Amino acid sequence: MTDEDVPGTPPDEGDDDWGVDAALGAATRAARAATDVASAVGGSAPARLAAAVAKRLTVPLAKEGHEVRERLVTDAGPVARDAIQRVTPGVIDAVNINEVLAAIDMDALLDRIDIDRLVGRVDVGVIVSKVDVNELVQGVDVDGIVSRVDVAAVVERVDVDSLISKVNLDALLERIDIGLLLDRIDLNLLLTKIDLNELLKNVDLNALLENVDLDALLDGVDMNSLVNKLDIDSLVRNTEIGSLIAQSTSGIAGEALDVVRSQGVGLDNFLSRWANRVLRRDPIALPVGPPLLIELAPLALPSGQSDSEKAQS
Amino acid sequence: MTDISQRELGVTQQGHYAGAVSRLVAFCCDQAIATICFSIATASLTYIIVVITPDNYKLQLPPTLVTCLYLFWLFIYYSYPWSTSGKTAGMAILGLRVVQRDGSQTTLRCGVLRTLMFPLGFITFGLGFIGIITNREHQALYDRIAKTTVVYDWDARGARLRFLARNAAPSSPDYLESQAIDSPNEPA
Repeated sequence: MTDEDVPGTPPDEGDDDWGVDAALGAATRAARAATDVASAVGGSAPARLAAAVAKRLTVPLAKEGHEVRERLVTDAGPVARDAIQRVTPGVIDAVNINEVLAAIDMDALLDRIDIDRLVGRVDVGVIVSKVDVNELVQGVDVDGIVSRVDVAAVVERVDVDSLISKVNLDALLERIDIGLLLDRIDLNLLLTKIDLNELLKNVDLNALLENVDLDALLDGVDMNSLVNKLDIDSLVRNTEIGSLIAQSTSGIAGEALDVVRSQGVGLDNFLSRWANRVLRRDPIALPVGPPLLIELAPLALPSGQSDSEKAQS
Repeated sequence: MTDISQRELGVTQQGHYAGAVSRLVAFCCDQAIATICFSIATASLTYIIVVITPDNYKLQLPPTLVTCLYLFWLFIYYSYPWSTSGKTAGMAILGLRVVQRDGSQTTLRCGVLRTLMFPLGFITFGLGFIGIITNREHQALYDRIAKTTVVYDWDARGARLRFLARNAAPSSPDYLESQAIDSPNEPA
């Protein structure tokens, strides 16, 4: 180890100034001694006299010391910078950051920090404006987040009653388009799921029918139209009515009359067709009967078809 | 055209103008009935007179009187039904009825006038009947004078129901059961 490596050892190139340094050191010691004496003696008159004498006697020393101090001020900056540059790496190597951090009481440190004041000084708008939200959102794995969420637990924690109590149902219903809603409902599917038997069990049909004005209901029914729509032929063929009619009117005379009349009508029509053909007449344009009887005829005819329709067919 | 289809066609023509065949058959029926009735009446009257008179009395009615009586009888036979119901016995059998041109019921004037004008068909050697075939409203000469016409008036609806019932009855279990009860000894 050399003298340069020992801290506090004066460098060799300063050998030219040793006198100044000695004087400075002597002055320093003298000043310290004077200060000690002054502090001990206080502000007594002899002390002040002695101080004045000493001040007079040390004027040359003070002048020289003043010059040294000024030189130190001008020259100490570069020297100190150089010294720090030389010393800092060694200091950094010597310092164990972990031990330093471990020695810090973080709680106490945080307690001393005024978080509100710190946050108040942060311009959140500027920060947010610099954030690309789209890129941020794209980087978020929403599926992963959702898969980690226990929805059941979330739902269980929701107070549904409280939630519903806060909903304005009137306003909600006003916003609903009932027509559109009904259009989207498959009523057939809905009806297939309804147990009508169970539903009808709960219906008091007697009470319901008591409230029905049957007279008014029947007044609105066009009985003639209803009767005309009845398929009498099918009714007679497929019910006991046919048997009853057959038993009551199946006399030989009646059947013979029907046959004779039917044959007569057939021959009449045959003759009429030939007459129309010879006379070049359009059968459709000919009247089929007297106006009064033809207007009433549809009520008596079994098919319910008008004569004009028959003629066209 | 089959028998069934003729029946189907026939029963749907109630209120339509009647054709020549039906009217001819009805007239024949009427003439037969009227003549038979007149013959029975004259025979009965003759028999009664013979019975109540002495044996040497011979009843000899002049032919002119008999003809007049016959014509009078025919007049009564036709005019009265045509004036009231619009149908004679023969027309009732064939299901025909005399009505006025518009379809309303005939009056006494119509009935009497039609009866009086009816012989015109024969006097014109049958030409008076041609209108039944050629006329748009199937009117004969006497119909045009009396302003009448003849229509089908039989109970077509009832006939159709009877027709359907007769066809449907054999297949009806209730009908077969009732037939079996009515004739229990009849072999199956």
